[in-house]
Amino acid sequence: MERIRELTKRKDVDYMEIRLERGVETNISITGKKVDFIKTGKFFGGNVRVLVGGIWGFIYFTELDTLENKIELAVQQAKTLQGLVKEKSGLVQITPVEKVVKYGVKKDPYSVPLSEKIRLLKHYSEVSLSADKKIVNSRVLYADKKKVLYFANSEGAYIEQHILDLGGYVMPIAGNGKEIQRTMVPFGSSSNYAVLEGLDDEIVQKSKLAVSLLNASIPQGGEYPVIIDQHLGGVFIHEAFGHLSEADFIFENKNLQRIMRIGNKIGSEILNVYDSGDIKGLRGYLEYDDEGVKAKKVQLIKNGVLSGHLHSRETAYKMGESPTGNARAVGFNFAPIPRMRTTYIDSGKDKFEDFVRDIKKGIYAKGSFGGQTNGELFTFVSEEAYLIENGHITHLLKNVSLSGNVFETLKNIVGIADDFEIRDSGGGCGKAGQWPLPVSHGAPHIYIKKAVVGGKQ
Amino acid sequence: MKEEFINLTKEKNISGELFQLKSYRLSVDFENNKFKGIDEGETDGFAVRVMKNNKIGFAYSTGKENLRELVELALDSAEFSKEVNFKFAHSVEKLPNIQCFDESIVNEDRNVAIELGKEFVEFIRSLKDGIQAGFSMQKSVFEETIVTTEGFESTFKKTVKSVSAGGVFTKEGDFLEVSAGEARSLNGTFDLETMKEKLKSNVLAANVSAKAPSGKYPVIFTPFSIGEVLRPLLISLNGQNVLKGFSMLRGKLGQTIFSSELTLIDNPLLSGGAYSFPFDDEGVVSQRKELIAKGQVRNFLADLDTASRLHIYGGNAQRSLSSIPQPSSSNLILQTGSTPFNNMIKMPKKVLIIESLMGTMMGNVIGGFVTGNIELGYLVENGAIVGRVKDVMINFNVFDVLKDIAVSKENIWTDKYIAPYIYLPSVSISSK
Repeated sequence: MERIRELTKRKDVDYMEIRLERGVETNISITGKKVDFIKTGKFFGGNVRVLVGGIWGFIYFTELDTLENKIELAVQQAKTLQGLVKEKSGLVQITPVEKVVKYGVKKDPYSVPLSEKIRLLKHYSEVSLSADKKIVNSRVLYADKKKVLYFANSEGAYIEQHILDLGGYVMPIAGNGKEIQRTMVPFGSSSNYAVLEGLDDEIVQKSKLAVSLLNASIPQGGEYPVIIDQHLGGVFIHEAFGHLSEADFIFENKNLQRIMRIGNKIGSEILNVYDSGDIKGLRGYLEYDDEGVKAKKVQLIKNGVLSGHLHSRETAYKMGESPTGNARAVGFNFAPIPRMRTTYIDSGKDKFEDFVRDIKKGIYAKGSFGGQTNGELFTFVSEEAYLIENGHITHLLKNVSLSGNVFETLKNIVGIADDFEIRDSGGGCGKAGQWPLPVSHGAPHIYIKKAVVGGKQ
Repeated sequence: MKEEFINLTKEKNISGELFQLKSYRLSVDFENNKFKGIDEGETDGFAVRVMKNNKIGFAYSTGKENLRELVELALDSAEFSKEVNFKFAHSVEKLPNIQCFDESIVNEDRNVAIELGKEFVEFIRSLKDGIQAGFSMQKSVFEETIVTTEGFESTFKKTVKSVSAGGVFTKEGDFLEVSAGEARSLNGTFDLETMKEKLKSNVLAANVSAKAPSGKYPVIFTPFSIGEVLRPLLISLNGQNVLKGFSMLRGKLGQTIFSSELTLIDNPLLSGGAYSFPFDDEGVVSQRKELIAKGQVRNFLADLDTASRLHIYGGNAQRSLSSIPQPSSSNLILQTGSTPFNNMIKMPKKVLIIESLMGTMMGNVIGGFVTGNIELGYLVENGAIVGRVKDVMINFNVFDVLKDIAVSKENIWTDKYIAPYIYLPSVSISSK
């Protein structure tokens, strides 16, 4: 690494960083009683990013022997683009750090033999299959990745981070010949293989739910008061608001700058939202980002008022704000951009039961297969949902999707419960072709005055 | 490396497949009306699959890993895998001559992309005050080699160039996102004027808003949004899902269950296609497959394993360096029909044209459901566009709605699809 640190010190660049990563990964996929595939891999790659005269050059590679050539290519790339870019890039100043970081691992998946992992995952698949006659199949996916990230820059920083990430799910699949319904038992961690253990009861319960969904009704589409659970609340705040807080989206867009100005009233007064790298064990845990910036806890919304943005060093420089440690890259073949870590709605003072009691006709939506947003509109599909009638949860509903305007919905939050929870799952966040980035999200139960529910007519 | 691999398989008395992939990528990007930069790089790596006692193992590596170590890693996992009854690709006398490599893409100066980007940004900015334009040109060059113990050995080179452009308008209460893109393997096959027309007509149509109260509507999916309708269908046409019981088309081979207007073809032999290749990622010679012909289910997409179990031809395996080969579609061709698009929009009193949906990936896609938000769609009344509809959810099952459709005479080649406009007579719409 001394060689690499030396290489970053070049006189003809304003800034240079070299990132290298080396690691191993294992993926296991099981369908029914059979192993579909087991994949093991070893990866190495790196990149050079330079800033010359306010212009970036970026080159990635899998061959370290010719690093000097790659540096030269990156510098030349930036030099040939001089004059093309009117607005120059820059970086906010930080104090360079020299540190080796080992994330505390409680139970290392690489201490568990492959045979034992497969035994457990097959067992889960069988638990699901035997839970009910109408469980026609089950899918189990498991993925882990263990890597060392090396970071050095021309300012003298040198950070070595030893990182673990694992995640996946057990998916019971119910069918009746006409229709298929599925549910999900997710797991994920940055420190502990044990999150995979002891899932039997939950798998049985979710298998039975999948079967019940076959006979559930499809809601009448329209506008309803809605209660969303912790998991769906987490997905909502990540998708609908978290992405808007990423400063690369804001800093060059005047209209969005007006909407996302710090101090703007953005949501209801009871709403507090954070993005933080500091919750250990979660997949969104991060000590230093991919620009060597310490990951800070950022309050995005304070009592309904916008109070923070998620920055890289470049966006912080351009917006005159402090860096937050949100510059992340999914792998060596990408440059870091502002991304979330663990994003959550903070606990409130209300009670879930009171929300239900307050609703004459509404929807209680739980769990999520994901969500999507275009900045203004959001859409989520819940895993399970219930009709609420006259203050009571009544029928199970299927294929429930929720949609709305982000800004209206944030203002339409009328209740936040005291039952905050974060549960990790597999997969990850996608942005600009960079997927899957490990992130986490959570919330307490949230009561929204009205949202559009998709359904039959 | 080839000899070393073959010797290792002999030593261990196993059959095997070596997959090597070198790839180069260059992207030129414009964001928020400005040139953003270039990123560029190359990766080189290999993957091995080994088979012992009919059980298969996989391992991959980027960079310089030891081949012996990788073969041993793959063998370790083979022990736990399911049994298969196929053999790795055998030697072939002649491969189809596919046009999918273009030296002019490899050698094209990056300034060509920068100039094209400037042109698109200027064009998009001229469409609406305050719109933020983006552009991206990405080119990739692949060199893929497959060697098997069954005697297959071949290398092919391929270029893929994609051009995409779009605009974002963000005013509180009035977000608009328009985009269009094309991908090809040959330079001469682009039709950038069609992209511009698409962007222009979308921005203009969105200038006025329209109301679509909840109810049943006829809707039209365009060649740019057709992927939303085809996604659940392709999941069910994937042979692997047929075997796993995740396909609504299981046991339906030979049955006519869709409108006779529906014909869907997977064609990896298409000249200039971004998804064209002489052999698939397992070394199986490419073939054109009619998946659905005049409403009848005719074939499934298959890799070697799936093909051996379903007793059909494979040739549809695709993979990246680090992934297991899986059945996947190549260039998809949806046959044109008999209805001119202009008649299509005049047929009913009211019709919704769908340009893009949002959130549909999260629904019960396996079950055939398309559930999501209309991100960009227009209400048309008596053949004239009234305006953009917003805050509207759409909900249908493709296995129901594709029983009765009208298909346009006109078609457009986007990236993966060459597709016409599809008219669905009755679809549920929910709005506030």
